[in-house]
Amino acid sequence: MTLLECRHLHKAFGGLVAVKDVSLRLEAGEVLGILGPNGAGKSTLLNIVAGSVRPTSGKVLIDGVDCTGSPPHRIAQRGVRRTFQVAAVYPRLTVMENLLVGLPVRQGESLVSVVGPGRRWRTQERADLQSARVLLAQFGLERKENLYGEELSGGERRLVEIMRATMAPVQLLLLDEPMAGVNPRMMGVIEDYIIELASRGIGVLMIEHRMESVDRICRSVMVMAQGGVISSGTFEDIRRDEAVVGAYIAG
Amino acid sequence: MSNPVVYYVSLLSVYGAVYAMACAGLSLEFGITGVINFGYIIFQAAGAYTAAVLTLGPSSPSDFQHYVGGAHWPFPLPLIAAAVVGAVLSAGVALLGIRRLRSDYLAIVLLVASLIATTVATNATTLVGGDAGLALVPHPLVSLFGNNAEGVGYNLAYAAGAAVLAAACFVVVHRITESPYGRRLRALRENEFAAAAQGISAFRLHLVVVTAGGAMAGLSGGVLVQYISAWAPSGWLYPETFVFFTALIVGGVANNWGAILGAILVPLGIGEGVRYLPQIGSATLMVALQWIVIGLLPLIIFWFRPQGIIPERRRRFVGARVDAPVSPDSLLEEAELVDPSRMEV
Repeated sequence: MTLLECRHLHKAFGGLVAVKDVSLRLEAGEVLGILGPNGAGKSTLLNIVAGSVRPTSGKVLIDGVDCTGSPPHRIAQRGVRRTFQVAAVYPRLTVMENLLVGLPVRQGESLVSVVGPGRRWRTQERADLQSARVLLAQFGLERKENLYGEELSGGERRLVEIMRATMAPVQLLLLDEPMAGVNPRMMGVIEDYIIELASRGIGVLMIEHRMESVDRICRSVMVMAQGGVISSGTFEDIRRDEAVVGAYIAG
Repeated sequence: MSNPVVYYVSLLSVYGAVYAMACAGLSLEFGITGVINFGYIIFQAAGAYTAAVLTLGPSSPSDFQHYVGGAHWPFPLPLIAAAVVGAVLSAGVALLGIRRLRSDYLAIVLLVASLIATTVATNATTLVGGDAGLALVPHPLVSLFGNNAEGVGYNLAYAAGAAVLAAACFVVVHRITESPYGRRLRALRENEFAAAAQGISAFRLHLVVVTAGGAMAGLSGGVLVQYISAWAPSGWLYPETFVFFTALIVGGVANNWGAILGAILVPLGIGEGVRYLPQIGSATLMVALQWIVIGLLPLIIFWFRPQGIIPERRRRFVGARVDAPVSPDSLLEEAELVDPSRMEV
């Protein structure tokens, strides 16, 4: 079944049409790149899928279920995780806490259980700490787990946000410019990680301006301009598309 | 037998416990979760009226005071009812306000609600006694102490009971704060949008937290009114909420120990401390001075120590590391970083 399907999405903010008749399909294990000049409606599209913007018309289906207009936390509970254009780490939570918040609510974590006797959540948390540390080590941040989110550099915040998004059993990942502000060495790590996630069957929808990264990790690419899709196909296809070149020069 | 010193000490202890209960609830709402409840005093007042009315007995037309819903409920039912009314009223406000309003607007609405509530209580003279309020509220379990509410034994027992309830509120708030549940609340405080992207429902958690905080406020009101045996609108005007906020800011926002310290330092310390100053100018000057100090305190704290006296602590995790190669100097660094008294897990 198609993991994500958008049908004729349309979003107008007053007179401004941000997204115009956008349809797309994303299969499990696929990485779809969205390119386009600033103001093309890429982030609005991602926000619609994530539930933070309600489309004027059109439908969003996740795993075949109509999720149009569902609030963001409900979408997230379906195994959809997103990152933000400006990395949204929790400034006064440590890196480790940031990661742990990414996990879904487990047994023993309800209000009644945490107030009641014992600390049933401790056992689970110990296991979670281990998996979080494995992830931190993969990104070379193992020495920073006790730093506050606000003490990290911009690039590190982005890494933490991506890690946090994948702490939960995620099936669809929405990334808004994951490479922005990240140093070149870490870009490679992020690219490898996205490829690894896709090989695990996770679908990734990724807005990215960095062509090298898109070329390397996206099986298919969609180019947006002024709210609409102007081209789609493989990276090679769209690179030869004159409409794309035109949009970037005009945009 | 009555002993003025013991009486004064127990009075201070009861006040301290009442403030601590209320500050624990507000710490959960504001310090941990970031809900700006500028109408917090309403829920303490509601608890106080509930406990008063449910012990005073039915109101008769010939009475000097008039109120709705009088009954003679035995201890501890009036206190439980006080907590329940505080919780239900808070949940109602949350259902109306939190779903639609972002934090600062909610704060404004609650502040206005606080003004409306005192105006209504003052002018609806048959609702809860009007401007004069309610008096002669019976003391609970006083028959066990020879019906002597002024006695040393009763006062000490009441203070001890209040302290136990305050400790219970603190434990509840603290257990929530230090659990994964509390971590989600703090995430919500830090960034509501990011939290929603992690599957956290801001509305649901805000509702839970405001209800729990309201229960503690209501309970604190009940404990207070059954001790001082009187309650009137002048005691819960909207600025009283800011006394609690000042307490949190001084003690340390987002640290429950700070909330308790603030409860002791600000309402109790300043409220009582002013009494020991020599009388200068008119009698109203001293009351005004008290408010000036309470108004200045947050400014001073924000300027010199914004995190408060006991800041929110950094929650470090310790435990075996996996995969990451551990070099001797990283172990050393870790040993220096981790304060054993603050270990988790």
